[in-house]
Amino acid sequence: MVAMREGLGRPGRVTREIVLPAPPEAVWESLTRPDQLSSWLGSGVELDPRQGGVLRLEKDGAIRFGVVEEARPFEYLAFRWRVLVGGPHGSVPGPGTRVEFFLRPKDRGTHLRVEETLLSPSSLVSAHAPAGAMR
Amino acid sequence: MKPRGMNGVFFALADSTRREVIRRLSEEGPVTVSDLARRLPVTRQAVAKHLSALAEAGLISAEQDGRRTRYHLTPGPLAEAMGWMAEVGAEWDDRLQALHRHLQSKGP
Repeated sequence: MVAMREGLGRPGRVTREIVLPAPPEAVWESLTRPDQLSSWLGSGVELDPRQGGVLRLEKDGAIRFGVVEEARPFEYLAFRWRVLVGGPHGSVPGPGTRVEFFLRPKDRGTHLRVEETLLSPSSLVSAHAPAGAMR
Repeated sequence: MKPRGMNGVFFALADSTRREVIRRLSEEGPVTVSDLARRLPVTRQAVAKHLSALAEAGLISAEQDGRRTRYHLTPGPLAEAMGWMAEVGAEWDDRLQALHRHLQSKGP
C-alpha cells in the first residue's frame, strides 16, 4: 500500500504519509472542495477553506465540527476539529485535535503528510476515558 | 494543573528515563526506588522524581510492602493513550486510501 507509517514520533501526535497520483493543485481541491471531500472524508461535508472558516461532516453516524486555522493553497492546510460521539446519554465531545496537511510535489504526483495532534489538556475531554482519568 | 489523562501519559512518556522505568515495570513487575536506582544510570533522587511524575500521570501506583514502597503499572491511562493513537492512525490509513482511490478515479 502507498500509505507509510512512522514510528511513535512526538507523543500525542499521529503522522501518516502518502504519495498521491495527482499534482498538488488537484490534491488541494480534494482537500478543500466539499463535493470532493464527500467522496473520501465523510458525507454532507461543509467547508469554507479560509482561516476561520467552518468545517462540518458526518461519518458513521458521528458528526465532526472544525475551524480552519490556516490555508496556504497547494502547500499547507490546518484545522482544529472534534468529533461528537453518540452515547447512551446523548452526544459526547471527543478530544479536540489539530489536523495539518503538508503538500509538496513529488515526481508527477504529490507527497502528502498528515499530522493529527492532541490539543492542550484543558481541551481534552475524552468520550472513552474512565471517569477520574480526566480532571 | 498537572497534565492528566492521555496528555499526562504523553508528558510522562516524553522522557527517555521515564520510558525506561515503564519498560522495566512492565517486564519485571513491582519494584522499589532502590531496585531501579541500581539499574538506571541516574541518581536515586532522580528515580524518585520520575516515579512521582509517573504516579501523578496515573501510569503507576505505589503499594506498601512492609517498610518498603513498591511501584507497579496501572495500565488504564497507558491503554487509553495507545488506543487513541491506534484509532486515529487507523482512521487516517482508511481516509488516505480513500483519497488515493478518489484521485485515481478522477484520472490525469
